[in-house]
Amino acid sequence: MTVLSGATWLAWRNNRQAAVIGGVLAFVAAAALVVVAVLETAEPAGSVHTMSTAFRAVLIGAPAVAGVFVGAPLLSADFERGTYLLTWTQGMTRRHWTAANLSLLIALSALAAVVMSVGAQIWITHLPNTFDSTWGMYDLQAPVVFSYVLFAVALGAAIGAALRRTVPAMAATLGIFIAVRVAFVELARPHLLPTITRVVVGGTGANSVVPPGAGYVDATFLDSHLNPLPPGSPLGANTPISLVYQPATHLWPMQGIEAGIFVVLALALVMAALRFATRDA
Amino acid sequence: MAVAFEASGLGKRYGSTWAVRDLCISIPTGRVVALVGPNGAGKTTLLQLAIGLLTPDTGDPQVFGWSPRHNPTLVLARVGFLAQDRLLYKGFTVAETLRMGRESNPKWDQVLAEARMRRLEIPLNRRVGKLSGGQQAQVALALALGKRPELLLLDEPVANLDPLARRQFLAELMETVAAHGLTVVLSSHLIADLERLADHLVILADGRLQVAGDLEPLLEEHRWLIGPTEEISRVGGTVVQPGAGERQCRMLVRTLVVPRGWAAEPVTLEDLVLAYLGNPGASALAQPEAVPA
Repeated sequence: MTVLSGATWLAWRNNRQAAVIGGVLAFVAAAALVVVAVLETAEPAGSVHTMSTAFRAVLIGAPAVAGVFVGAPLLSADFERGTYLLTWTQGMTRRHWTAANLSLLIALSALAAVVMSVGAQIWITHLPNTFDSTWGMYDLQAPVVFSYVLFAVALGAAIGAALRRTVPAMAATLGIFIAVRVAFVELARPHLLPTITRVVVGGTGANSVVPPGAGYVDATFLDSHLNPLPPGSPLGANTPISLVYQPATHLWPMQGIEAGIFVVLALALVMAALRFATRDA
Repeated sequence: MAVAFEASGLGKRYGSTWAVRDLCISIPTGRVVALVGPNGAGKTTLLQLAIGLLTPDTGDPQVFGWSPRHNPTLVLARVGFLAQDRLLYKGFTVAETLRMGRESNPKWDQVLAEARMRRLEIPLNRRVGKLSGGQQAQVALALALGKRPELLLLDEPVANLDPLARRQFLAELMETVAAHGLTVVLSSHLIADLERLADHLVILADGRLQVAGDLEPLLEEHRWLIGPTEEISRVGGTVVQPGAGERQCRMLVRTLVVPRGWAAEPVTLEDLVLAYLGNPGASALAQPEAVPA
């Protein structure tokens, strides 16, 4: 790479293996998604549906993998090997050197994330209608995939800079990323925008009565006074149900809010990484 | 006289232990300084404070008048640093290592660095990890010198090198010093190596400065005194290394006066260093007490 110069060249030279492997994986995943999308269009309801679970796992797992294998080693390796003594004593400040590393990380991760999330989006749009292609695929839509990748690599970089040991940083990155993700999905996501609550009578199952395109959040059986029934109460065909859901129009605004939150978190983590990595060793 | 490095009240603490404390030091430009002291005396800490790898807890050192902490770019551009164990990226080729120097130093001299590698017959396309220890040391030296430093800090550069590699390394260093007149601070336990190289001596003991000064006057001020033990009270100055036998005594003394009837012998750098290392209470920072007419 002769186009790169200065600290950016050095950052590239030090991380090119991870960058090339990560880039290839992102392209392969995106290409596979597009190929499957094309096959779906050519032969709707074919056997390719079975790959859905695998793709889901890849798209949900990819940010964690990027955080663990690209983010965490980025700044910790130099401390572990002692080579910070080499880079910090060249003619550039440690801040400059760290910033070059972080810029390269964010630029390349964003590129890989765009490739993957575009692939995911093409795939989702071409799924047959029998699939719930909106709320059911919430985690696989482009904005969320993109922002989670950035968040995960920034988290890995910050933890790597703080711990200055690669393997513990990888483990901590994985643990914290999963914890944040699960907590966010469970606690914050349903309430990113106000939900709609509607009481219906005579439904047989909660999902069947959510309006088309809406995202199911919660359902509670009620008694005749519209108070929640205690668990184990006998249910009749006319037991009222309180349905909580997100209307279809909320999908993209919520994707935007969630992506915004994680991009901002990623930027804050990059600043933290810069701080941690430039402290005296 | 121009000063390459100076500090007063310099201190650095790890937890409750002071690695360097209350250090007042001034190193004139053009000197080749032998920095010696027992393990843990603070040599590495002092060198790392000088290039800003460490932030001092007290005092603010100055390199050519600039603080490594407040003006890091000005200091980094003028100071070369060779860490213990000749740290390099083992996966880089020699050419990539030199490119690292070029990409990250404003005054980098590629021609000089490549010429040095050619002269030492170190192939540019070889991976650093595949080179011998001596060759790695030469690459590390070329990297430190390629930035055209005015001050070169070397932390135990020849430890773990075989004698031949050590000699080649020091010869290369001597040649550069002679050609460019840069200031060098070199920490080492191998005093015999320093003898041919250094013209200034700094001894650290327990984080404090024990001896500092140009080597020639220090060697002139110190001597072995040999005489009868019963006349020991006639010896003036500071006894650095006592050595009284039953009848005869042989002591290393900092004095310019030789008592009548006593024999005097000159000291070597090694004598001087060993005497002070063996007697941490003694110091040589000012002039000797007795100066005869």
